[in-house]
Formats: sequence, C-alpha cells, structure tokens
Amino acid sequence: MTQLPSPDAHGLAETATIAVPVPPDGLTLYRLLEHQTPSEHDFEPKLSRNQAKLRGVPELFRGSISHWLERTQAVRASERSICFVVQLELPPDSLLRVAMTEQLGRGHVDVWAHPQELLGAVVDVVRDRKRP
Amino acid sequence: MGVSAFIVQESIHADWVSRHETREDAIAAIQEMIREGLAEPGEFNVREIDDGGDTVRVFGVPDAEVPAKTGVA
Repeated sequence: MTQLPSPDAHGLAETATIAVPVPPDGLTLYRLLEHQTPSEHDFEPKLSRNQAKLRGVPELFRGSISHWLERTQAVRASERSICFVVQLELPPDSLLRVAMTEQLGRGHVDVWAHPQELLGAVVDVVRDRKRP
Repeated sequence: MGVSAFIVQESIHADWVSRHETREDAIAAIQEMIREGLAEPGEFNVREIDDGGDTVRVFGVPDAEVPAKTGVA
C-alpha cells in the first residue's frame, strides 16, 4: 500500500498538498487512457495558464495529472462503459513528484512529471468494463 | 474526506478541475466553461464521491442543460 504522506496524518488541513519524490521502493499507479495504446498525449497537462485561472484551477495543479492507487479506482472514475487503464511503475530517484490528494477521491494521486518519463514507466494496459 | 462531493473532471483522463458541494454547482461550473468558450460539450463530466471518498457515479451535463456559447475561446 502507499507510503505517501497525507495531510491528515500531519495535522494539516485536508486541502493541504504534500508533494514528495517517489518512495525508495517505487510506486505503482493507474491512469485512464484515451485509447488502448498509450502516448505522451495521455500524460500531458492540458490547461494553459489562462485556462486554469479562468476554470479556477490553482496554478500548482495546472501541471499535474490525475492517477489512482488502485486500478478499480481509475475504472470507476471513467464515464465510459469500456475504458483503458494504464499501470505505471514509478521509479525512485527521478524528477517525478507525487501527492496524495484524497479530497478528490479515495486513492487519488496528483503527479508532476515529464510525459516522456511517465510513458516510459508504463508496464501494462488493461481494457476494462465498468461495472454498475 | 468526510463529506460527499462532486468533482468536475476532464472526461477522458479524469483530470480534476474543481470540487463542489452539490451536483447543481458542479453542473453550473461546466455550463459556465461552455458558455465562456473554455470547454466543449462532453469535454468535462462530474464524478460524485461519497463521504468515504469512493466514486458513486460519473455523469455528464444533460444535453438539455448544455448552454450556447457566448464567449470566445
């Protein structure tokens, strides 16, 4: 299970963000894909600075993208009846930074990284059917 | 976590945009983005989470509630 620090465990407000490097043992995360074959596009933050401001996204999170600790959590976040979920094995000692942001859902993790680095961490893609 | 919430998110990758207390507020946030030309219909949806943080359901803005654009992208 995750070794990522949570704001609650440190006596901080739920909305606090603790961004840390990937733990020494690495970290397994899951993310929804557009298609079955992952591409850099799947790991690219989409919002410009002005779009983020106008949409009310804090500047901190303009450059992060959503991941999940468990595959089922990712699947449930999709509106599609059939979705594609990628499994990533994130290595320690990288430029990656991660933060538990569970005010957005159980197991939700924001990740800051170069898209190429995330694409290189892909180990599996699963086609999954959403269950009611 | 503690309380249920409605998360506006990008439809494909579920990248989050904002967190709201009510369904109506979340829908209104998407409608405003569409109206202002900052989003296309279907680009964003809403993920409802319960007080434990688990996803209850994901839904889009009903077609009848999609506003016409008035702004410039």
